[in-house]
Amino acid sequence: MSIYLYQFLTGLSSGLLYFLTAAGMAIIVSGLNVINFGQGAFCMFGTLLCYSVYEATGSFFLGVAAAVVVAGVLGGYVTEAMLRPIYKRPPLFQLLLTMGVGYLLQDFFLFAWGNRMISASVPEILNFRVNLLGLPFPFYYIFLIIISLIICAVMLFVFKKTKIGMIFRAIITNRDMVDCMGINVKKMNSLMFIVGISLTALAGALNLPITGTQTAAESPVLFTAMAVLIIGGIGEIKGAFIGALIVGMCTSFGAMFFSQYYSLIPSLLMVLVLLIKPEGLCGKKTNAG
Amino acid sequence: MSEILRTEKLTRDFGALRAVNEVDFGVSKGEVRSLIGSNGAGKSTFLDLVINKTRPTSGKVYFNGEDITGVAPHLIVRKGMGRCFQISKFFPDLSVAENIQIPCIHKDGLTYKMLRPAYGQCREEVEHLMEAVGIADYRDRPAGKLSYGDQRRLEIAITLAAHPDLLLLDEPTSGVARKEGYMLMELVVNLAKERGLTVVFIEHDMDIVFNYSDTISVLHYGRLIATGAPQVIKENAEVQEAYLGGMV
Amino acid sequence: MTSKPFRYRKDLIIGIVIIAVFLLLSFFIPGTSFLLARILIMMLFATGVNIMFGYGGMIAFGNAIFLGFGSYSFILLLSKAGIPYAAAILLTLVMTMIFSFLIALLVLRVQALTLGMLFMGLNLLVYNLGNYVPLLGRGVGISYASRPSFALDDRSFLIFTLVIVAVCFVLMYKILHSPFNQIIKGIRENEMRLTFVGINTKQVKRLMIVVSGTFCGISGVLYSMLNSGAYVTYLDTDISIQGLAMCLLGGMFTFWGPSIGAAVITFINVYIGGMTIYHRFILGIILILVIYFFPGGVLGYGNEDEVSARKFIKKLIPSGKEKKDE
Repeated sequence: MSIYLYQFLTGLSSGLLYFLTAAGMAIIVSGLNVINFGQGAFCMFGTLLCYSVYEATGSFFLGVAAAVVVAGVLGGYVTEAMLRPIYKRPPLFQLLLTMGVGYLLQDFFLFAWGNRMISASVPEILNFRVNLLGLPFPFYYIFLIIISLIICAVMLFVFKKTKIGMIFRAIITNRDMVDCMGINVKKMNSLMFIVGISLTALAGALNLPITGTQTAAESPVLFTAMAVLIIGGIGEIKGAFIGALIVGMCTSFGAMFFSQYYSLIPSLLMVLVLLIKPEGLCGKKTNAG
Repeated sequence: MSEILRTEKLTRDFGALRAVNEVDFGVSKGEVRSLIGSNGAGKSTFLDLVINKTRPTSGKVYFNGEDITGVAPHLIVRKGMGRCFQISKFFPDLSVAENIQIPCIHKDGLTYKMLRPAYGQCREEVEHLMEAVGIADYRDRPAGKLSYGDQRRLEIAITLAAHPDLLLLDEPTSGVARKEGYMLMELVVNLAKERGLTVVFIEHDMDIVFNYSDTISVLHYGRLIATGAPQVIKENAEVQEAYLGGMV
Repeated sequence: MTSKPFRYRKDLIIGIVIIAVFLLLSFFIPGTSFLLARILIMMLFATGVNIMFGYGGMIAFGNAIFLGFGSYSFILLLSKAGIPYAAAILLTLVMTMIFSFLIALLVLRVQALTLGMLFMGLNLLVYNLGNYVPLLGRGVGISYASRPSFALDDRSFLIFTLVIVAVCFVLMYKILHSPFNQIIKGIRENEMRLTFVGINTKQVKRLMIVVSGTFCGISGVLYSMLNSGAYVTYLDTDISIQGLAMCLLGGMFTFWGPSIGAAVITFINVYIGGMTIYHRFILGIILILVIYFFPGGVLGYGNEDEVSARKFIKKLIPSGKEKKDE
């Protein structure tokens, strides 16, 4: 029994981390109409930077904060210097640009951090076990769950109750109208991009003690995030949430039963959803005749 | 009286808003019918429903006696219905001739022919249509570079290329200078009489409406409130109150 | 623009010149046959991709799927199923067409950007499959000598490839200048309008994907012949992106554009790729440069691209301060 609880909690925590990345992508997709193919690279950046700061200062939390901030700055640079000039071009070009940026970043990481496996141990403060139904369970997972849920709540609050959240939602629904109302849509877009990047960097940083990352490999995060978005419905944050949880849970329980092929699970789920409900679980059907 | 198009209690809801409200509409073959009503009265939506660009919430559409409710739009078009859009939709980067060639290719069943050159296919028909609408001089110009009025003509040519029996036009003269608008309508009506087409057009310019329609239908907040000859409509009290106001 | 007849002659001459160049290089500079064959195959691949991409206007990320399918099917049929050579080629061809059709069915359930993502997702799925499934040679691939018996050495294989690729190019040329292609261009420009002219656009798109996928699959078969095996790297998203980059670089609205892009990028891959492990960096730089400076590609054609290309050239000539176009 307790092993199921264990899997449930790990599934929940990994699912929520995926949600952070997927939500970031969803915001960028719905606000800028661009799929950020560099998202995985930024996630890896979060992990790497957190690692370096953690090693240097001994403080994990400082590492996390640094990761989020620096990634945000980097995201700001990318969007201002690189995406803005081609804002008017078809989304395809912007998409390929994010991909190009992702590639650049990944090789830069390879160069800067060398070809190795990066991981770290759970910080002391959080490194204890909690007794769950008789089995000792690492608290860190619970910490992840708590943090992610807090971020969720904050996001919900910002989106629904604050002025800037309202502007974001307006841009998502009808960007031209917002443009006409005198609000600087491009600046807002940049902000949305930065938010999206920071979210995934946070996920990456928090993931450091669990999975870490391999500098030479392409980030697997991108794919899982995309699978999550497709399952939940592109651009729907609620969908990202549900999709992420489903993927997290299925992967976690799947690892129990099919340890060999469990990494195929997100892809299979994605294909399944596409066959049954192509617009995603929470997506809206487009009026395409 | 052969009715080429008939709708029964056609309705479309958008959430709580009932954009088209149980419209019973009928048009006879060869008629030129205008559809008028204030903005938001549901005119464009009605045309969308007829050709199933938007799915009706309820009600039926009959074309030449056949129930076409819910049939896929491209199949409805093949049965003989054509639609011109308020915002011209064509192929901006292709030349004018190519624009018209495309529907001709389909019409002649060449859509899937992959092993013959496209150049010169359907040439006669394309020429004919270009001359008919008056844009033959621009045959090699990229369609996106035409003047607005000429783009409207192109739109008409593209729609006609599919040989429709029923032509649905959405504000054909909007955005065009008055005189040009008259010329456009003249063109449409002449082509229609020539080819035996039925025309249903949405229009806001009352002069055009009264000059070119055989019959007028009036929509008000989604309901069809009157149908009749221009003079009759002019004198209809309900229509006057709802729409014409002090314009008559 | 619909090509006028004299253009056919021009393109034919270009084709003949290309064949001649390849033959000459192969005979006069020893040891280049392998590279030349690889470039040819990539040219076929890129032009195949462009059917979906430049002409069809779809965000075609997953073309490695088709290349990979072609290679793996062919190799598997030869090695595991023991089917005779010629039959294997034919069977692979048929299977690739069916496979492309199935992919088309799946992929056309969504639109535009989602389509791009889905393709990418499928690509990664297939790559994962290649990594894990034992039948496909977990993580590495399957090695198998697969060149035709009359074309075992590099030079004769080059000639063999030249023949096959030339035939494919002729076919593609015909297809890309046919009424079907006009319809495809129409879909790229304004799909809804086509629906309201009575065309079943979904069916047309499906067919386009089948055509594109089949040619990519053929390039996959040739590629596995070249490298004597089907390897997991064929399924990598890098290949898909390179395919797109080739089209972009050379000019995605033209027929020969992708081939030029293919030649350049393959060349860079082989020479610079051999000098450094940072190959992704190179690809990234290429993408970024192309997007900023050559959106129309080397053979840039078409209104928007000509304008961009001209603007770029204008910037090279100092003519006072220009207001930067946002």
